[in-house]
Amino acid sequence: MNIITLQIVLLAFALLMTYSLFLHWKKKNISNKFFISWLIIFAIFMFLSMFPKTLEPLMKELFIVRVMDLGMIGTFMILTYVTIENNIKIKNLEDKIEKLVRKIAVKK
Amino acid sequence: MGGFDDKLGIMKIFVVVPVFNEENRAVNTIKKILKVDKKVIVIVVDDGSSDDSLKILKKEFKKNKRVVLSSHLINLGKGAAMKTGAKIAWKLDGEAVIFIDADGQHNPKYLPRFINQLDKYPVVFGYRLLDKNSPWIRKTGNKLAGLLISVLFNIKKKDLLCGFLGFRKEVYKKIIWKSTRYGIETEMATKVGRNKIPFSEIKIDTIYIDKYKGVTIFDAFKILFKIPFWYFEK
Repeated sequence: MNIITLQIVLLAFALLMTYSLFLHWKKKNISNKFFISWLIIFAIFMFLSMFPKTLEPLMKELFIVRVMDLGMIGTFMILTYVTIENNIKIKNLEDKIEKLVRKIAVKK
Repeated sequence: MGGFDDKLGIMKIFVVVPVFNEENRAVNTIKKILKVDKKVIVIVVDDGSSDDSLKILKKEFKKNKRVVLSSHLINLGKGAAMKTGAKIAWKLDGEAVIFIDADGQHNPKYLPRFINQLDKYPVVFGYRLLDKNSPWIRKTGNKLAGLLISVLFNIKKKDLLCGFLGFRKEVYKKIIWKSTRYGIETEMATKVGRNKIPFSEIKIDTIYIDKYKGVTIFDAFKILFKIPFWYFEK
């Protein structure tokens, strides 16, 4: 797979995700704020996929040789953040459900 | 022995039985409990069973005044069912609760001893002795976990995973557990140790009903993973 093919794959992925977001926004599953935030993220993602050379000054600063390495580091950081956020939200949700179910059980 | 005779000043003790998918065993366990102590009241919490447990329990005990039936709309885990049971007991002016598993692995014949000990100690734990036929991994795991808990939380307990236990209402807020599925008993022990709550231990029979239910090796690892969190918890 050469760099152009990889760029096409990344672009296709970002477009697909944007379309999925758009559908969820249309169905009112997500808020305007959420939709716009992710739209900006995917726009940046698409731009960087098409013009990876724009990252060169940053890579030089961080002593990173390949764009792929920078991408991996960035991905890990984002995934870690999303996992922690999700974990906290799920735990809060579980606590709320538990309280609600218990309230009903005790009332009966 | 136990029961609800206020005139005699005896503590109001409820037996809480969390039930999850025990349509074949729960009724029998509850009947045994009712037989052992004629005054005790049993709070049964069905934890969103997907089998006919709730239906069978309702059919059997709906008219029984010594059985309080409650149910979770969805499955939340044993720890959550135990908490619901305790809340119902406090609502009914209970002063102490004793937990017994619904699958029959806890022999209710020890109930009078628990009731007796709860008069003297705020917390009473049951313990099983692992015999020579017990798997080595279980024995080693139990010993290592026991050692770790005793070092970190200053509590020496013979069995960290035994669910046959009881406590008085006055200590509930100090030992309230967050675990819903694994390690409720271990978490409770860590809190008893941390708060220096006096406790007593009662030897009970070792009965293993279903090797796929209860604590598996994977659950043991999850409990081990939780220990540092309990340690740094305020």
